[in-house]
Amino acid sequence: MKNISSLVNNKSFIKKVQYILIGLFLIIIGLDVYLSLDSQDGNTISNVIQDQTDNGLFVLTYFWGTLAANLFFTSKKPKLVSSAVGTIIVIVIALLILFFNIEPKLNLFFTNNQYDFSIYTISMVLGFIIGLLFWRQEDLKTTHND
Amino acid sequence: MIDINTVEHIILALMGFLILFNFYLNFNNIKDDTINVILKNWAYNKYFFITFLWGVLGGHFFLGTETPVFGSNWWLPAVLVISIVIILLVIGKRLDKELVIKRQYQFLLLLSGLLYGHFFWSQRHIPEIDFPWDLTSI
Repeated sequence: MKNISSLVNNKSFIKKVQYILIGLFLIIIGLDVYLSLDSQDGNTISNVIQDQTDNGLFVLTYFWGTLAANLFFTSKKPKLVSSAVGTIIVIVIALLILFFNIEPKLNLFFTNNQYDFSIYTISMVLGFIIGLLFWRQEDLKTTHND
Repeated sequence: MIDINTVEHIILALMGFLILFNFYLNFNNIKDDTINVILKNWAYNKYFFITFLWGVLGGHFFLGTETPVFGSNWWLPAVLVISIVIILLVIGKRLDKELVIKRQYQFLLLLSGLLYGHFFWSQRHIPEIDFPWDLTSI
């Protein structure tokens, strides 16, 4: 990691990054509207993501939770771990979920016990908790830019 | 017409691009320019609709009830969510630039979005037989 004091503020560069993000966002929305109205069924971005999760990308729901905590829940208190270590923890847990094949096991457990709610609730909440513990950003008042 | 396989590749390419781009932004010498910091600053100020939308998409993509609240009008929840986002955007544009939205409001936005995506805009709704507005033939 670089020393923070060597980093510079550059508002025009940040503006460019912002425009790239807004541009991507608009392209995705335009594409999805097109996909939902064209002659083929089931090819919208929502459909594809849902099919992927049904087929085993449990990790995606976990990342949804960690990112929710990272983007929307800043912290004023000192961090438990540095942001670099936090990022590593978040990724390592995702790899563990993949490596130990958690999703099919949990799915089986849920079917056997006839639990009637989505297993993705669990990974969303898990991701959210991990994000809150290890992967929060600093309060806006200390890092404000427009 | 774009088939499902191509859409999958487009989504993966976009994710890959965002990850690599963010990696670059993190290790360049400019402060606070990562996607995470930019989105956080937006969500805590004039673009607080992002928090709501994140919740809606979470519920829409990953959860979802089976009872269609709006009956066969499958397009209605999507149109409604766009209207809500536009209203939030208009409100946000009027906010003071220095205002920092409180964290408990972020929680409310995320939760209400999640519930909306789960109950109103679910992809697991059991399909109805007759569509009064059949757009699939376009």
